[in-house]
Amino acid sequence: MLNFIYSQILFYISILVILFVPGYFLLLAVFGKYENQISKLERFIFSFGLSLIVVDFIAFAYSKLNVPITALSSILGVLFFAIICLAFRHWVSKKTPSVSVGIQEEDKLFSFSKNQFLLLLLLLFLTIFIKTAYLSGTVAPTATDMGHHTYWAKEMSTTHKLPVYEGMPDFIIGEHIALSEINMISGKSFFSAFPVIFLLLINLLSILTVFILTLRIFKNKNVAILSILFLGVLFAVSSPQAKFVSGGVIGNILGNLLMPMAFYFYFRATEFLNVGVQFIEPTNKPIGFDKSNPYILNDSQKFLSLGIFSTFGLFYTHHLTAFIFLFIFSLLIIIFLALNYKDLKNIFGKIFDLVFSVPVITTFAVGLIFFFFIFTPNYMQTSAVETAVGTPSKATREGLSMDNIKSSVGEVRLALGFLGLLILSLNYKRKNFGFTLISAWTVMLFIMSTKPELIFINLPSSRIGNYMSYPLAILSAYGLFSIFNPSLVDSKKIIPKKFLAGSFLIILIFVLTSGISDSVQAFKKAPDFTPVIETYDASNYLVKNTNEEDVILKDHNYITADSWIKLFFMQGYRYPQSRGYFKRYEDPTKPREMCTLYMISNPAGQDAQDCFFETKTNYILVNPKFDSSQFVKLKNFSKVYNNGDVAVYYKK
Amino acid sequence: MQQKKIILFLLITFIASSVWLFYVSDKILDPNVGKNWWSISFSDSKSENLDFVIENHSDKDNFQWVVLSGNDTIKESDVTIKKGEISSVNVNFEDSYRNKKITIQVTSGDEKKEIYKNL
Repeated sequence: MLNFIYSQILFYISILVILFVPGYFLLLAVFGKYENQISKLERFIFSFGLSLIVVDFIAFAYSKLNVPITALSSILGVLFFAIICLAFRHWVSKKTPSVSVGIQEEDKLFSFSKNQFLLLLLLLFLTIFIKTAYLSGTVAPTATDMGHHTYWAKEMSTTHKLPVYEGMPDFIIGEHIALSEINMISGKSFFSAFPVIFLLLINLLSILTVFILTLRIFKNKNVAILSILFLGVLFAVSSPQAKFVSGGVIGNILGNLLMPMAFYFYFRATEFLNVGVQFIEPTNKPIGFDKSNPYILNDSQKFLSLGIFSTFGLFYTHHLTAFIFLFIFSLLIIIFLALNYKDLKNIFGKIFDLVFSVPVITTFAVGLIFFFFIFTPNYMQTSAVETAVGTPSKATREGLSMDNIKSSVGEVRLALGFLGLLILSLNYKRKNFGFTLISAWTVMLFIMSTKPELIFINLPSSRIGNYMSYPLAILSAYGLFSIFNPSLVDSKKIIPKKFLAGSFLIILIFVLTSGISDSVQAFKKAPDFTPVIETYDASNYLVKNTNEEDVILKDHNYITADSWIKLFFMQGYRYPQSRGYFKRYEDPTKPREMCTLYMISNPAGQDAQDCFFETKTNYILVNPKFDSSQFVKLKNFSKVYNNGDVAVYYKK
Repeated sequence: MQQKKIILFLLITFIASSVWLFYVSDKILDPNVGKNWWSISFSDSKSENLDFVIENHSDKDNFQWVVLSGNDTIKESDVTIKKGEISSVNVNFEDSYRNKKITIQVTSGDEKKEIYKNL
């Protein structure tokens, strides 16, 4: 028990050091402690996202300087960074005394009524509760993707160097640095709940980021709270939520935090374009910006710098999300400039003041120096970018149907989301960058996932479709709130109150039943984990009975959690060799080696004999219920281990 | 003040959730908790050594093992192994086993498993 408590404390300390302290001090350096451009809640939430990027940059610097990345060096790096931030803040404070900006606005925006506050806590609780309930049955280290990613994180932890991924472009450095450093500091094994908990935390932060972004864009607490309902509580299990967490889809989970965070900073950076624009709360109290405030441009420069920093972090973390980000951002700029074409001269003047400033240029330059001279992501050195662009090469890349989209994001979110988009377009405020942002985010994802040929995208459409749940959750919240906004409806007396209440009840029932039915999976009985333990046991047997001269082949089709076997050996990502899914050997578009298939499926055949000679394979790991008859009569094979679900054959 | 309360609420619920998940995963990864399986293996997979090991993680504790050379029984015995325990069995190698298939069959309840070496 004491050990459990001790390891827990160490784990939370490592989370604090790696995932909170760097970002917190960065925000302290940028805004100071008493400046109110960002609220306490925003500081708290963005400290995590920014920390992920800061620790990446520290690790890149270590790598360039040939400093081993260990638990101690990771902690010292964070401390050094924190001291630099403090010194910078001290220097800035001496130069220009800090000013409390917009205190009243912040107080208004982040002070909730009693009912709103209780509803917010209830929704947050339900979000965490449903996800935890689902993860209780899936927390075991079994998922294939998680096995692949934790291999690289473990390699970093054992070699104390950044992994080079054996030239594979599908793994990106930002996916593994924080995971590895938490492992080194806390000592928590990758064969525990720790990778899933790490992803759960990131997933929750992405939902909170969307909440904050919604609050800032619409300046409406009800819409923001509803966004948690649509993103956190409803469809809490389906992709890209808890299923991606348990499945170890690290890049998407991190990307879904970093992209909205970057959007938030870009949105805040453009707020000075909105000077004078007012937003109506249900109370009819106007909330806006003080035109005479001289600090708004200065703040916008800070926000833009953080946006650029977040974008670099995104490019270091997940190429698909970064690619999508570029498309969304391009559409965003085009729409915004097109809508404001009469005011382009003024806007470009302001953008010039914003961009050509010391903080923005410095951040951009530092990012570029790191990107091209300190550490370049491996996908930049391969053909990954070229393969993502062009005519769709497979049926799975030719776009989703509306039915596909419906099942991907949920019927209710799709319906209310597009209703929200319609209402948004009717209430459009052309100078509001946030409105354009939400619209561009939705429209571009819709085009990319349904009609990829229009913009020459050659990526799996379903993977892009998963991203739609984020902007659609915001629009659903906005749509639902707008239909039943009492201040608008009552004042105009358009719809009778009783009819409105009845309609609200019907829609609410539809929303809840549709969205929560997905969460039923969370309360199903946990599966039997015996096959997982049996795979680990067979792996341990092989670790004890083999040396570096032995060559192992395992089967991916019938062995549970087989992608985790490589973590027992740590002899390379492709060790042991693996017989993949049968269909992959038949894919005419991707010819591949056949030895892994021959050596298990027909070990007596001439092809297999050639393969055994060529690869020197002498141990085979299979499920005896599916693959044993082909070995029984072979005199050069011995069955040396058997637990019923996994058997090990040794070839003389 | 409300923001501090929200942050505190988030911290408490996240820590409660993660402590629970660590507890659950520890149980899942314990080979003896909620699971019912056993294994047999040769102590040395490569050599002619025929010593073998029975590892029990099931609720049964009675195991019958038999060593066969082809279809002939060389040796057999019963052994009691409690859940979570391992039992090692020595089988002396003899020259007459050479070029033969030596099979170890282990039965517990209605479940039978075997391993073999082609010597």
